[in-house]
Amino acid sequence: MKRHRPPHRFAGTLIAAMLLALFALPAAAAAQAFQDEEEFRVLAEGLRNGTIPLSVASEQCRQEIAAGEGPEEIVQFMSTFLVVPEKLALAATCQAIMRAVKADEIPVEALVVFSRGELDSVGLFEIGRILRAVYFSHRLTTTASVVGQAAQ
Amino acid sequence: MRSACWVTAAFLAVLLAGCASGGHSGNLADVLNDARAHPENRLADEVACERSMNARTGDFAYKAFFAGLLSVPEAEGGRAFCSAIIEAVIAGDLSQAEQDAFRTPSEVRGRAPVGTLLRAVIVAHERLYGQQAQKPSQAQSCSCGE
Repeated sequence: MKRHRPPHRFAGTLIAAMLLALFALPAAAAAQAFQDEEEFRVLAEGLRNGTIPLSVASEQCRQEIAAGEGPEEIVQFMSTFLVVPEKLALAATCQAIMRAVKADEIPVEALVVFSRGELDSVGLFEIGRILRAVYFSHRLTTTASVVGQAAQ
Repeated sequence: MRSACWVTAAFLAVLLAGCASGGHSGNLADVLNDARAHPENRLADEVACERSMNARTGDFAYKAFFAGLLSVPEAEGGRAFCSAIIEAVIAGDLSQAEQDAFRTPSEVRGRAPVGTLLRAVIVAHERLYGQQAQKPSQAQSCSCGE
């Protein structure tokens, strides 16, 4: 019998796979994670129409990466990439990527290209594009937060 | 999934550690050191950076990766990366110590230096892009006056 996972739960595996692939850590999970494009489409749609709360998807993502393969290296990388303390790196990463998915800054098609599993020029272009989207998604939020604090 | 040799982290590490790959004049670490010491050499160092990258890429499609990261056409990925990393070095966004971290094996240094470098490259690229975007409007405002 096929085990069904909530769509937003899938996202953590998928994001972890992307980050793991970037560092070429053991990526068996990566190939598996990308098998079901439809699950990611459901997640993206749910985030966009509000049926999947951003906070829930982000927290699931954080938990899955933390429990998965090589979270320390992802933490190290994202901590300096986003300039956040290591203990907040996974949360910041997941919040940024979920916001980017919700805003369609990370289109499903980008992940579909990546899902072919070949880090050819198209796949590497998409990895670069996804990292860029995560960076600006995070920066937008932190900038807004600073502005909000200053206004108070 | 293809792995080990195709990783951005390893690619950057090899470039910045200045590991010899056989007889090319200069490597990226030397180029960055020169830019840091002699900012006036910026243009020459950008060219040397591209030459160094082209000489060492192997099958890593670095232009495609940086094109995605910096939001430029793929053919411009190498040039955009080199302009940005030279800018980052000159502006002090990528320190000597952060650059030298790539000399240490990744098992020891961890992945933090890669995040630092990619961030510095994005920040520098956005600054350069912003400066270029301002130039036409400045030129326009100058031409409509006295």
